[in-house]
Amino acid sequence: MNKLIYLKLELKRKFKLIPQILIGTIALSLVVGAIVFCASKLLYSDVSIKEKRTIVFTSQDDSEMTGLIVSTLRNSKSINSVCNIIESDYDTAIKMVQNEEAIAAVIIPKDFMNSLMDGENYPISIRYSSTKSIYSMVITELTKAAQYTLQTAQAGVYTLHDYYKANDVLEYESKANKSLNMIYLGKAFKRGKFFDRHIITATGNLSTTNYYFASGIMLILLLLGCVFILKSKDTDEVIALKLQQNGIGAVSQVLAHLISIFAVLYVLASVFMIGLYALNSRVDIGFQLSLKNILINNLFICLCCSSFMCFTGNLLSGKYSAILLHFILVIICSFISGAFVPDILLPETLSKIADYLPTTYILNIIGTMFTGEVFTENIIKLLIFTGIFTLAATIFTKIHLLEIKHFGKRGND
Amino acid sequence: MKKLILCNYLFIKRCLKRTSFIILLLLIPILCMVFKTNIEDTKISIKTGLYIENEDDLTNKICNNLKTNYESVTFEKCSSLDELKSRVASGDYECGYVFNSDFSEKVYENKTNNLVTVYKSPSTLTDAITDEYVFSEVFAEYGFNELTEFISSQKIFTINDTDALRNTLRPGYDYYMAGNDTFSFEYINADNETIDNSSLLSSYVLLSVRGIITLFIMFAAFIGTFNLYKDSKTGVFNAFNGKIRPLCKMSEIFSLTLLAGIFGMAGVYLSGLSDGIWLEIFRILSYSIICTLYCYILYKIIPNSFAFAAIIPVLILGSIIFCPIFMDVSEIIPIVKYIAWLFPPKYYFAI
Repeated sequence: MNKLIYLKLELKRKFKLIPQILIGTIALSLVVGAIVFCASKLLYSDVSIKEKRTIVFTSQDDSEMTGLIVSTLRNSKSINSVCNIIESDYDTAIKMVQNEEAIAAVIIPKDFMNSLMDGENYPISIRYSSTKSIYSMVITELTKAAQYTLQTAQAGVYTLHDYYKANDVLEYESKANKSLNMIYLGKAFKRGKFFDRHIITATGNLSTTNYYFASGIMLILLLLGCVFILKSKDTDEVIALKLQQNGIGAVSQVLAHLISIFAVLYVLASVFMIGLYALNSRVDIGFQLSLKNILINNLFICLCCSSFMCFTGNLLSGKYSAILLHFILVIICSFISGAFVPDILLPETLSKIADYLPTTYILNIIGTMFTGEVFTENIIKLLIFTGIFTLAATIFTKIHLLEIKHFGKRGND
Repeated sequence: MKKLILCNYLFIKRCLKRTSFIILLLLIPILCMVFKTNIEDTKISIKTGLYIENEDDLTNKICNNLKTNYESVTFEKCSSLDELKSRVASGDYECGYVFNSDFSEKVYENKTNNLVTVYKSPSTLTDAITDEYVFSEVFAEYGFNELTEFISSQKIFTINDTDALRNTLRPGYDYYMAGNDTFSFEYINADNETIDNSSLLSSYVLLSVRGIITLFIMFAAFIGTFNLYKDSKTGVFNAFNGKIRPLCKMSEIFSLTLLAGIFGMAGVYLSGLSDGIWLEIFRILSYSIICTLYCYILYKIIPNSFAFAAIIPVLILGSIIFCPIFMDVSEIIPIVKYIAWLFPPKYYFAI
């Protein structure tokens, strides 16, 4: 009976937090709304407000061929879909990069073409701005590939020269060289139909946008742990001891916290997802939501999140230490699970560790909500994590109660 | 002024007495060091699948070149098309390339349409890079065919046997393709130093460490604000006069933020991301002050600690989305750069 009363009290305490949590949710909705509004402007506007990054070319080489290369690049559709290519003189190009008006400057040195012909091979410099961005990385990778492509052209031209020399017709070589270069340039940059592209979809496979949306939902759910841990630790330690003395031991206390946090999270998460479902039925935002799927998946997600909060909340006795630990664990686990940086860019070791973190499966299940599926394997793994966290929380609570009993009150930070 | 300094000293002393707190602060530089070591020791590579429908010398050569020539992309050969498709669908491969049965025929006939089939999933991000690598290897062979066709078509030569011409040209062409004395790029950073471009993927990932540290320092300011809410109720600040009281309240937030900042700075150093000691000290001090002011304003607006705690997920998520912590979204949606100023981490990256 006492246990039931205690559970009701905990539920009441946690549900009282809902108005305060809703303040945060409303603020978040405004933020998300702003993003969706901006994104929709991008999608439906005739005039693109998306700024393409600028790459500036400058050639200190006078040859006609260099001019041809630059103009071909500027006219290339694939390159122009990603960035603006402009031409400038050397000083302006360097200034643009220093002022971050351009992300990179491509500098073709003086006598570049002659150096290719006589074997000296001056390198083309790519000078980056100080802002390190993913564009810098992408440009470098693309130029590495371009280097191989242009190496082909160079090998062809050198071989042509050797053949003409061997056949004693070098007087015709210069004209032939230019013609061959034009053929290579034409084939190198006009390759729209080279690849035959197909998209494969599979269970839980999300587009990048939907994946990061799922990451955002997961973060919100987990970071709400700050509120719940603060509330759970708001009671005096002596009260926890008194509860134990009245038959509400560590197990009951942890379960009461778990159930109360779960109830609040489930209500909030389900209301949000049902709202998204209603929005999706009126305006197609690209999700395949179903009510049954939402309610089932939310159950396991919120259960796991609640148990995680109980675990981190009970690991340390201090209130603020517990909140800080919760935050550190959420950020680190989310990072390793690929919530921030795509997991293809993470070291293999971290990718292997991700298989043992609950955040990976929480993300996967939120993703399956968007694709209208129920993925049993992930649910089972979440249940296992729930069990582990609940058990750990109970053990730590017992240890804290023993400490209070034998060493007295320690203080809640 | 003396009282303010004493206030700061006492708050810092109180923080340092909490062992669990110090351990958590120490965790940040330790994790940064472990992460950096991990990044340096392991290769980051984009996994991509290959499948050849009809194996011959040409396709095998291209396949072997793809498997050996590139560090940032790992090409793996699949035994069947179904295997390739399932691994792309499951996310094991970023994308998959299929050399169709008529691939070699099309290359020899100088045809470029639908030469290679690409399979990718909705979550594929880096196909632009892998496309370029596959194209460059195919182009190497295609370029040789163009060369022989071109020479055959020149009136100054009478070529009756194209195969003999190919055999004549091949050794020279392969020599120049394999040699290092050809065209190259050099990469220079903002400090006029040549960049080692073999590790750009890992250096990009390591940048996120700085972002996480800014979040951590901001969160420490939040913890300081919780302390402030608690101490305000006990009336401890009533001992100070009206002029100095707000500064003493701010010093409660600042003490924790500064401690976190010091450990965060250690983390930046251990990650090898430091831009110089004095700049880092200036950054940390400025950022700590900005976080303190930010949280103090929030403390004045928000009535209690629970409501403040409820705002935390919004502030953290907003910082992650709008500030260039993991990715600069303003490169895609320019208006974001104005919203970013609402969140403290933006000021850190602006310093």
